[in-house]
Amino acid sequence: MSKSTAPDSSGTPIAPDSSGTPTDPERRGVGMHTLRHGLTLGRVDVRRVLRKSVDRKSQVLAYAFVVLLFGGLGGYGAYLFGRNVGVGGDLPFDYTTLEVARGGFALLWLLFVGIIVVRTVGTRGALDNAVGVLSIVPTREAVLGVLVSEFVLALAYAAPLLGVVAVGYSAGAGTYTFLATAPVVAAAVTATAVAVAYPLGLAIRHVVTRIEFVARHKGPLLVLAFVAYMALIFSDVLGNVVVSVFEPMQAAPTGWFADLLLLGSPAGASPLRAALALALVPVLAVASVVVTTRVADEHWFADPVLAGTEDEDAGVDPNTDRHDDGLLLRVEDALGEYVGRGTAAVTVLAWKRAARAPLKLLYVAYPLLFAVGFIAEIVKTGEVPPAAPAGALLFVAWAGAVVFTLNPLGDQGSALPATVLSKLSGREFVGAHVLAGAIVTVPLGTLLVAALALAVPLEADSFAAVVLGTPASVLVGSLFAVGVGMAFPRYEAVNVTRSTKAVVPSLIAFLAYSLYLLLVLAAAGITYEPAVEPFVAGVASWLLPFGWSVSADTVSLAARAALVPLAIAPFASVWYAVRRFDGVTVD
Amino acid sequence: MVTDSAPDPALAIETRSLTKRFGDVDAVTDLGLAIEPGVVYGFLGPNGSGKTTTMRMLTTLTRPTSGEAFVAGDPITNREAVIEHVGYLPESPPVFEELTARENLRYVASLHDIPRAKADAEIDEYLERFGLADAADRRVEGYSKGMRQKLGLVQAIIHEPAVIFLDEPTSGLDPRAARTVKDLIAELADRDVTIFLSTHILSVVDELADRVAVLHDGRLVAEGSPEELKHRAEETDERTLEEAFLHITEDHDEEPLGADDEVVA
Repeated sequence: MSKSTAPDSSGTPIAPDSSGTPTDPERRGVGMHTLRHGLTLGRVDVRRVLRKSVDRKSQVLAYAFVVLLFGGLGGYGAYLFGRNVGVGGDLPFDYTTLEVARGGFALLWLLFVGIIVVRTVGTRGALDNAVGVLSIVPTREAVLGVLVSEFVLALAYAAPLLGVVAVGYSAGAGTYTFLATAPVVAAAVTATAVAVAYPLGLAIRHVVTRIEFVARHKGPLLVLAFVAYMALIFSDVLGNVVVSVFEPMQAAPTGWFADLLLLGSPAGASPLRAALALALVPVLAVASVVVTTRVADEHWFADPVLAGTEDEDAGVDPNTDRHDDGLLLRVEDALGEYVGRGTAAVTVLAWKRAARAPLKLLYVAYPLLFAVGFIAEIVKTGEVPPAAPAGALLFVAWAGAVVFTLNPLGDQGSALPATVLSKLSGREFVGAHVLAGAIVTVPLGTLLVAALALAVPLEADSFAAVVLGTPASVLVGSLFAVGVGMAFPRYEAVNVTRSTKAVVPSLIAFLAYSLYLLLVLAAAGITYEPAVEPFVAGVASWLLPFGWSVSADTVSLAARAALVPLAIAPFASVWYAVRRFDGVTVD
Repeated sequence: MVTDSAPDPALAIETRSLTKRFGDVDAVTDLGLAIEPGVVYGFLGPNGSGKTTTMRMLTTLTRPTSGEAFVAGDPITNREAVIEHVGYLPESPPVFEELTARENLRYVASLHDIPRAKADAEIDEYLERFGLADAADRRVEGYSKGMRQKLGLVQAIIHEPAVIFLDEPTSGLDPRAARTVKDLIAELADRDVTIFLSTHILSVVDELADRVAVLHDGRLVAEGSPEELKHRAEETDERTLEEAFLHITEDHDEEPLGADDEVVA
């Protein structure tokens, strides 16, 4: 019926007369083809993941680190346990070896499930190339493929870890039956954990991404969940729960994997429980395919809650931030009166980008992970250590610059050519980013530092120093950061979490800026507090080779001398940034 | 509510009052299409008019809010049956970056149960025809947009589906590659394969399409042969399909539609 040109003569196979072609009844329903397609999908997925991992050397290193560290620790611990207790020997508490193993397996299985659930919610719940897969195969085949792939990938961790533990225990106890059962147990534990965890994770992911309220407030909810998790850990609640459920968990079916592992050893494992542990695998696998298919049918075909994410042809975006726009437009107009329209526009744009992608700001919270113990101690004792305000000052200055000024070119994203080709001058561009950071960070940061200084409480002069030092540090830090960011921009997105990509400042910019802040803090600290001088002199003398030493006076002089270039550096940095923008090219 | 009454056996694609709503937004409203087998059906509309949503519904990737639709006689509520008849090239070709072109095609062929030897022979021929033979064993992540587009097209047709949905198939292609694609579409149509073709390049539709539909704000505002639409435009001293398209969509920007306005030609 076509009115087009003559057919190509290349001999390429062309569809036969296929209108109304009857569907091949053998392909409908569940059959061998389901298994075959599932295995194909799984195999290709594993191949892709492996290729991606090999491409990113860091993932290979991380894998090797996890396996070597935990395998080494676990294997050596198992060796010691086996050597001192043996199999079925007396333990210094009321449980037998078998009971400890059952409880341990049940808890480890739960941990494994938790890890896979988190992974599913974060990344694996979304089908890669969903259109390509779901327009070819039924949902259950796609599900089977994902489950197979997850099983293989999880086994890549479980098998070597359990293998090393089994080898260590065998060597210590002199009983080698575990070497035969360990691979079977690793496969069984992994299969059952994936079978339970994947549908559970997919269901949670559905709630998180498809229930409007949750999807919209995902960022704050994630932070709350993280805080709750940390609170559980540092309040010992989690530890108490683990201890209290250890005994009941010994009776859980997932504890039967211990019987399978210890089968044939003097530990007295139950052959029936070992057999039931094996039987769990097909039962849970089949149930998982059925349940996951139901959940996937809901999740993979559900309409996106937040427009613009999956279906760009949905017409008007129902989630426009008009109310924000109104307020920000007024702020932009007001700001424009003082700093000019261009600067005001870029300033407001920087805020919008930061506010509308809160997950992308997660990397700013990373340093807080190191302070978790510190914060927990404050919460526990109700006492704020004297160093807390200075620590907060340092964090505020660092975070403010990292969000707004440490990668101004990269933050422009695909809009960079438009910005570069606009009438915006380098002075306006640089000023806008410093201003965006200062307007947000100065009041919030000063309040935080002042609150901590009051809570300590600090002496009046120290209080004044940290409170007045906060805005000064933010401004000085931002000025220095903007030049560093312009010199070492990063344009490509990197993984902030396993599921979130963001354009973050380059590593060199991070390091250069962090080093600058530390130097300023050190020089200012030494100058402000003479008591530090002998300490620094002692440390420096200890570090220096050939018996060289440094006196406190030299330290004092060096700190004061260093303050001069450190004070000049921000202005030089801004000078450079302005010129860099005026000559920027888009390669 | 989505219902499944009997399809018209003479039609390759049929929709009745097909509607899709995203929250408060009507993406597609009361869409009625009746497309015979072997027809190249040009599906036009401005950005955001609901073309992709319609194709996603017809390929079962998006669930309609109400109405019904059949593809090759099967209701779109029966995914398993429909996906056996269709090939789909979305605007962004669904290829795996980490695989080579050959691996991508073998994978798709395997999921369509095409025997390995036959699949390999066809893959070689298609790769040759589309100028991808030299790059066949390179990972797709290094491909240009046009190369991905060609690969996506081969994926969509390799299993010889009865109905093929193509979303901007010539997008990103150089003139020679675009000609290859157009020739292929013509050949497929000559073999009675139904082609549902969405594109902004009106010359492609003008050259290939037997029937043309214009979607605007999710509603079908015109349907007919390219000549009929052009004839309609001639009443306003316009001659080309592009001018007809602009005329039709402009009309509907100015005045809201009534039910009678939906099917014009």
